[in-house]
Amino acid sequence: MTASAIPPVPETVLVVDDDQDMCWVLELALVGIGCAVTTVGSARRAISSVTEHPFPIAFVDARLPDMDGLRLIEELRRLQPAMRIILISGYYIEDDMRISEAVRACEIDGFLAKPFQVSAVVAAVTGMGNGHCHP
Amino acid sequence: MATIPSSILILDERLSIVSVNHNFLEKSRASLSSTLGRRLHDIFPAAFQDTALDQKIREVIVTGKTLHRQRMTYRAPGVSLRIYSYSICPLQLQGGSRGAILVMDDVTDLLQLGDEVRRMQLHLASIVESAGDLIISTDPNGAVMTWNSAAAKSTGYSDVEVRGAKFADRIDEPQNNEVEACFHRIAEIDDRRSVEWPMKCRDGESIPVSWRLSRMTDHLGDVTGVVVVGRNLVEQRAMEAQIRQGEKLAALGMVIGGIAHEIRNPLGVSSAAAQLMKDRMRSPALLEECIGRVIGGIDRASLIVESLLRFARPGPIKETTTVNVVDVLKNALMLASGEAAAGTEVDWNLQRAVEPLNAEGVQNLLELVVINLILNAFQAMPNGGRLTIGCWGDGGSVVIEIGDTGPGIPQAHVSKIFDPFFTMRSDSRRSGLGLSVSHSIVRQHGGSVDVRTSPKGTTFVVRLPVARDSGDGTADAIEEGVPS
Repeated sequence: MTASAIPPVPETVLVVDDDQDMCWVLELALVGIGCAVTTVGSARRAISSVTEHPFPIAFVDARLPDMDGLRLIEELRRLQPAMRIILISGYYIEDDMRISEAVRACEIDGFLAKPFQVSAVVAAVTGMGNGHCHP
Repeated sequence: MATIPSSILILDERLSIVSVNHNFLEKSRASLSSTLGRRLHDIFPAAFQDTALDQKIREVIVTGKTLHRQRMTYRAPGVSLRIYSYSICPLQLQGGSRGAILVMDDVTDLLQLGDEVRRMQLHLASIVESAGDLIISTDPNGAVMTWNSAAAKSTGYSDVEVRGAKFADRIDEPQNNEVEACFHRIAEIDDRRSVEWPMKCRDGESIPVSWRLSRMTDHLGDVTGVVVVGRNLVEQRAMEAQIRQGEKLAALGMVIGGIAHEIRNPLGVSSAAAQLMKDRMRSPALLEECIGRVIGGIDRASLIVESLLRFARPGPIKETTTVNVVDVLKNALMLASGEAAAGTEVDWNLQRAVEPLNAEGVQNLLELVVINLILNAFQAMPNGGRLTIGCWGDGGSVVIEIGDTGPGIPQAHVSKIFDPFFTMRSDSRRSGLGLSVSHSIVRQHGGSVDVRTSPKGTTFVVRLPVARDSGDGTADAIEEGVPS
């Protein structure tokens, strides 16, 4: 990935993960390509953030302490239909029907399986690649 | 002779009728005048004539020997079959000539009754034989009298082999003593209650059987025997085991899901931090931070694996250190605080002691225990509430209390909360392993976990042994069994 290949990046990215270290790496990776990043640890805080401020893109962990990740995505879509949403999960295998169906039904714009490639995070934000970026 | 219900005929040598009784005339609907002097085969209904009655009467007259209780059947069209029992006795007639007396009884009803009784007996026997349950009868002392096919099939012993033997001897030790005692007090036995005694089989194995004993009594109420009915529980047990296995697998699936999530998080952090290091070579501070995250993530993954192993193979903890319990509580709260709902307050309730509260143990394991208890408290208060963290010394123990103001644990669940995989949460995020791992760790430390719960909240109370070098020698005194 070279600097010249990177299209303009969205201004702010919302990261929803209850794992603080996970928030830290995503933030570091995204700040590195010029994004402003807001990290929150719960679905409730994600909803209030989106209500206050529009985010063009969000990374949402599949398992949150107060809500299932896919449920939160439905809520976020209702609040902000144009937002691009990437689901991240450590609870995933290739034939996980629920996530495959969500990708197919365009409920999510991309999926990242932990542990992931930093380049895949960057690609998801810049809109490069098909978004189905698991290793 | 008129009142005798049998038909009686007296015959001479030529088989002519000398005399008949009232019953015969009535049955044959004939008059005395039309009968006397006639030959037997003239007055006997044709339906009887296939019987060699003439021949038999002649033999009795010639031999002088009585013929007892023969049977003949009366078959005539349109009339139901009748059966007669008859006897022929030799007789000296007036004038010295020889004759015979024929006595006939209609035994049709009697025979039919006998058949019915036999059929009923066969039916009852077939019920006992066809039953899937073991049906055994014994005398009042418990010696086997009958033993049905189900008993033979279940044990491999035939009824011949066990008849007369003590029923108690068919039961495995040590329950056979209980059986013996049961027969000694047979007058008091309650036949509504069933008991489980394992039964010995021919192959040396024993099978689980649920038994019910009932007394057989005579009209005076004395015990004449005992009916012992047993239900073979082998299949039921196999089915229960299958269900348990299925439940275990389902629970295991949930746990594995939780583990995958828990381990892939730190793996994801380590992996991403390592990848980011490439771009941070010129910034030593950032590089250092990335390296720290890589190592931290690996340590976290390793700690998860360790707590799983500790759960799988609990054993005594050997290498303990002095652990400052207040530090444990503070670290645990910091790590768990991300899970607290908005509006959650924390109340600290620490002993106002000058010296620190030290326990003997492994710091990171005790942190894991407290993290689990705090997470549980937060989960019990999804809309906020008050978390109480208390700690004080109590003789040879350090007591930790973690309380919430949630809805409490239903009484039916209290006994299960420390079971592995038990969870009251409907979503699959928490594996239900937290409390059981905590319990297991505290037990390995030589401590205990108790719970107090009410609809106003739940408090977990953890007791840990006080640190050995805590200065007052309390722990040593406890260890040596010396009262402090």
